[in-house]
Amino acid sequence: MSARRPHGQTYADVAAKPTTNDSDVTPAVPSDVIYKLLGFTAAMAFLPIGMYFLTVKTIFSGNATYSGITAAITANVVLFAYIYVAWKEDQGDREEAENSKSKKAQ
Amino acid sequence: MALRYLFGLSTTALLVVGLYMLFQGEGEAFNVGRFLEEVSPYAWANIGIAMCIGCSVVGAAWGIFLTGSSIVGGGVRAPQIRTKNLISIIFCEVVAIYGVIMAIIFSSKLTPVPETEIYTKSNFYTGYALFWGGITVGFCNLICGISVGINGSGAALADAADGTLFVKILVIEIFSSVLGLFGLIIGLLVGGKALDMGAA
Repeated sequence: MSARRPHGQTYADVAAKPTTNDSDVTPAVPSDVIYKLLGFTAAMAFLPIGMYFLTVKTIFSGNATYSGITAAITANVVLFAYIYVAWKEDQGDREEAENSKSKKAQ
Repeated sequence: MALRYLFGLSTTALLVVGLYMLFQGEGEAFNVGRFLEEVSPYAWANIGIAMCIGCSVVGAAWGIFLTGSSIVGGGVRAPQIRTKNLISIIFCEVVAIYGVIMAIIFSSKLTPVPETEIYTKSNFYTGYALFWGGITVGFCNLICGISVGINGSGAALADAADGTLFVKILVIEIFSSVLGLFGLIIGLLVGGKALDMGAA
């Protein structure tokens, strides 16, 4: 079977061989992306429920409806904070890509 | 096929038992009004809370399952996973959190009541309000989670093909995540009118 392929290469070797010299060798999921996701997941799990129990007795004196609204707003704040962080990071990536492109052109 | 057998078997069993009771002079046992009166309001309330959190989590899980498989598939074309690719996951988490918040609010209305004071008008209202409120929130979040998941799956594939599409698709995803908020608002209104168990 392996005699068909030249020099004892497997199919995986052929597929993994880079076709160009400037291939991307950075890890697929950078650690800061994972830490951001974990942090925001923890915030999403604990902040709204924490806000509920924080406000239900103190600020709203037992009115569960108002503290429920507070908790829902907190969940949305965390969500939009994540979108903002992703948007900022996307902008940074784009500028970086443009900079490296213009450097190559020079 | 197995479902059809099950359906036929249960229908036949119900028919046999029903006809037996009818011909034995016990037909009045099939009394919907008595059933509604005898079921404890706690049962309705707890089923509502269970449906609320359960359906919400099913919706969120379904959304993450749809989105996640597309992110992994799109990774073949664009192996760099950035923060923006994972936004859909957070959107799905919000759906589950809505269900958790509503379940906590609903369960705060459940307080122990002596056996003789369970069947009051106010307690029946609280039980039915939590039951239907929980079903409203649960099914809204179930459909919202699926909607966010399908949107997010399309967004992941579109982003893999062309990175500049990201912001445009995000707007549509925000619209589908608002759907769950509608259910949460109605659940709050329905639950807000119900008094605590045994309060009145």
